Amino acid sequence: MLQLRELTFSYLAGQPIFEGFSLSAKAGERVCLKGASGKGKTTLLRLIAGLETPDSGTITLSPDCKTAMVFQEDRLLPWLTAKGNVSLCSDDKAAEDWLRAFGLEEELDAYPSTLSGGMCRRVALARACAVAPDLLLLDEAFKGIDPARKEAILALLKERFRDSLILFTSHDDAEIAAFATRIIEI
Amino acid sequence: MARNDRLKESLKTLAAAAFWLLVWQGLSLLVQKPLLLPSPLEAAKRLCALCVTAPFWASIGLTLLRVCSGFCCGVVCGVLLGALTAKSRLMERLFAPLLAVVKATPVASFIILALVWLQKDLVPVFIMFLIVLPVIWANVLEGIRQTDRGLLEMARVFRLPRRKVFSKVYAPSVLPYFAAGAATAMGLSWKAGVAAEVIAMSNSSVGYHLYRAKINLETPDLFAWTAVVVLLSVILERLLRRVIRRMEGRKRNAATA
Repeated sequence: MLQLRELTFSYLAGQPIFEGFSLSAKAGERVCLKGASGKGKTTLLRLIAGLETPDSGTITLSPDCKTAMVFQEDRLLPWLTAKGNVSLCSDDKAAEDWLRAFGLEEELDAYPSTLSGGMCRRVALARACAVAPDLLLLDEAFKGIDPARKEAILALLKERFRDSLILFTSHDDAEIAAFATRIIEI
Repeated sequence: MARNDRLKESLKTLAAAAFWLLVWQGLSLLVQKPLLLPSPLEAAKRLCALCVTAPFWASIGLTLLRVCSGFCCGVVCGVLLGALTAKSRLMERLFAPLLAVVKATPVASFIILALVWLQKDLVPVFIMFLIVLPVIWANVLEGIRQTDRGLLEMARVFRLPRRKVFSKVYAPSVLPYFAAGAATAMGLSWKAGVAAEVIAMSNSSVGYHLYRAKINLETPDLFAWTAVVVLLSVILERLLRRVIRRMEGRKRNAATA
């Protein structure tokens, strides 16, 4: 489903973030990209999402692969409600279902400025899930969500995205242990 | 703001206006020459006399029509040029000298040139267009440039259609810049437009009556028509602000909810 071959990328000439990085992953996997800050985990997700262009190497995705991403920042539109933000990328019903699934049934019409950090993370997660992606990229997506809620969300993602490929970054060992089917050290 | 507070604010504004009317009255009593400085009462009397004549309203109507035409043309072209130059560096380079020339050229030069090129009735419209265009253009360009890159990246990853990117991401981001530009442009263009009417002696216009008052040394008329200009300017600005506030409504709710 996803193949990265000999990927090299640098923001500054002569200072590559990574060199000759290769990875192959198939649908149903939940791959954790692990490594210290600054090692290029986010950059790798951005490359896969098509937001950066590699210096060399290739990124191959299955044809018609639907991609969704949860960024490190929530990237919610402040002038839209929680439901408005989610339905921006999907239909109203899917938006409402996912917001309810993430415990935000009371906040459907709330604006991001009135939500807590954890709630905004869940809205961003709902937005990504509502498009029913084949490839879900999660960049520290669970940061700020309380442990009990996080556990429920991880279980839900495992169940609902059994046939999708999930690539995620995290510094939380318990989270990685509970969610990843494979760990890649960068 | 509570109703009482609003009332207090209005009373304070009225008190300030009354103070300056008293200063005007005092000065006119001091000068004692209505030809140089008529009293507010004389100007008001003249205004009341003008109000009941048909040419008065026809002139106001035509001036407003010219203001709105010039303003709307300037806004439409300013928005389009702002979007075009934000999209392409080449276009920005191409149009930058034009923008700089329009900004730096004195309005009087444009009025005189427009008198050579155009029918005199179209001169104020053209002048207002020239005044509004660079203001709206620069503000829209800045608004597009300041649009949150993170939101645009999100739109790209989720493959949002262009229509949605425009209406949900760009438009709300640009609106505050556009609003500030429109308010500034309205004030500037109104003054320049009336000045163009005076110089061009456009038929049936507020500017034409100002010119007539000047050459006939009818100073109370001059003050009465100036009061009309000030009043119309305030009304237009308030109307514009109301329209923009309505457009910003949802966004403001989001920020203050």
